[in-house]
Amino acid sequence: MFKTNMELMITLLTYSLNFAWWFFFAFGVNWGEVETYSYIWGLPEWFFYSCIAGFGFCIFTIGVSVVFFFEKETQ
Amino acid sequence: MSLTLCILLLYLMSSATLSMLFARKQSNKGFLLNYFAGSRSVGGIMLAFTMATTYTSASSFLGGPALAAHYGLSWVLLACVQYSVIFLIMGVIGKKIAQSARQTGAISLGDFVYSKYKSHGLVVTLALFQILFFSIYIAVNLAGGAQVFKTFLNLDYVHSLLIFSLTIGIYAFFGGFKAIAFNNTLQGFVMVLGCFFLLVALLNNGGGMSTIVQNIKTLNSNLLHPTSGGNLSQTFISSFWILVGLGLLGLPTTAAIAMGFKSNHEANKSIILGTIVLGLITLIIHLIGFMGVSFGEKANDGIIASLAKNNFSPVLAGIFLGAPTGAILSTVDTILIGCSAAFIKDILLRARPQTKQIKFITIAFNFFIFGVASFIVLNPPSFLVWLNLFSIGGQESAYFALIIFGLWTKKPSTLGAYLSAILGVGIYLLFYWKEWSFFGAHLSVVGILSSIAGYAMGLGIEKLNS
Repeated sequence: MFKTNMELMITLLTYSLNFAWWFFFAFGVNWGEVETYSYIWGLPEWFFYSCIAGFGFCIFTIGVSVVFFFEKETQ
Repeated sequence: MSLTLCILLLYLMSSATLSMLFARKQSNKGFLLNYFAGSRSVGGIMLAFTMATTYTSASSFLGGPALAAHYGLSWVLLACVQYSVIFLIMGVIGKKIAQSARQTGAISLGDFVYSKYKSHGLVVTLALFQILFFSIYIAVNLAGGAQVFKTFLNLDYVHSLLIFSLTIGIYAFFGGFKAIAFNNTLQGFVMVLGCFFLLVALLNNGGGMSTIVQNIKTLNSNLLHPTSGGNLSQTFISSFWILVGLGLLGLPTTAAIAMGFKSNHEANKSIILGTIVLGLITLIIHLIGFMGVSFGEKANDGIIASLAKNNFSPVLAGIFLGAPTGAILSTVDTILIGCSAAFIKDILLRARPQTKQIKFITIAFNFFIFGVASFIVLNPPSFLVWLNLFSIGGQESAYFALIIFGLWTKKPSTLGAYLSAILGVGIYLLFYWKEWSFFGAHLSVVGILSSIAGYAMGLGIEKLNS
């Protein structure tokens, strides 16, 4: 019933990867109480890994998907 | 503070002028095509900025930071789900819709729906939903602007609302929305710069991020916690990967924007650039809201304006104000077009194809919608974001199933489309009205699921009858 193609699959896969990273560093790891936090760039570790390093990760995965897997020719 | 306002007005005038000049260079493919789909001639960079800035409305630029101040980093975490949205949308439906639009000559979402489902009734029903939810969306942005004006003008909210609505109305009337993509690109630049300036100013005045965060820790340590100490559940936060993630695939604006680009090559470039622009704006502005707590700012929709007022010189504040105003303008212009298209193309021209004076009716309708929108927020909502999300969820509930199924299945089902829209919106509104919970997730999830169920039901009934 559904016609799929490479772009759709890659998009959903990449989106899931990005979600996994975001979720893992925010909720997947047990960071403990606020008192025990470590900080990177002044921000709590979980936030840095999930949202700042995560931003870099997203750009990377999206960049790879678009450059290597997306259709270049217009129909 | 009148200096600040003068600079803002100057900015608005130059922006409108530039847009008008640029619009003159655009092709003359007729008012409808030009106005509604930018002549399908939008290049990659402009598309990137259009997408990034249309998503960044008063809700994300003003409302989001307010909640970031209220809940802390957990709200910033929530906002960050938006990093992947441009990619998701373009990857799943962007190109398919553009292709479909090129093949069928569709210039509005209504055209697209008709080309797939061949039902006038469906188009009209959807257009009515669209007008309803879009009016709310515009209302949210007007309220956001009102808060900004209120902070800088020291007027009460209602007067600020009227003045702001008037300003936007005049801006629109004088062709500020003519070259929408150009307008959005301009606003996009201003927004990115504005964010950076304010961030730097706060880091400077606050003694660095470390000092600011530690200060917030002493004020309310929950604000550093991923679930705000339990105030926001993991389910609720994660459900935003639907509401402002997957669900966006069902957002009429998205589809409308996607219909506007030239080629795959342009689209590919714009995805990466748009992601970077949107990501920067979203991350920085929400972080700023959070940081505001350290500066003693109150967690309400006026927080960004207040931070600007207290940390910038009047001149710099005036320049910065271009940013949230830009966020609002870039969103309102796109939404207003969608609203007009729904009314003119999907309802009016279908009923009376011989209508003349389209331009005049469009302008009159725009003013009417502005009036309605202002009325909706005459009483300021407690937090803009909730009203905004209500509107977004409603649109998604109506459109999600029929857009996805329409694009990705071989034989679209008209009954399915009808049921998906009616059940989607119906159940969504029901849950809202009864204040029921859906597993702790945002209600857009139940709306979208209902729309899928509705479509499946319609498909099933059609199969049984054949």
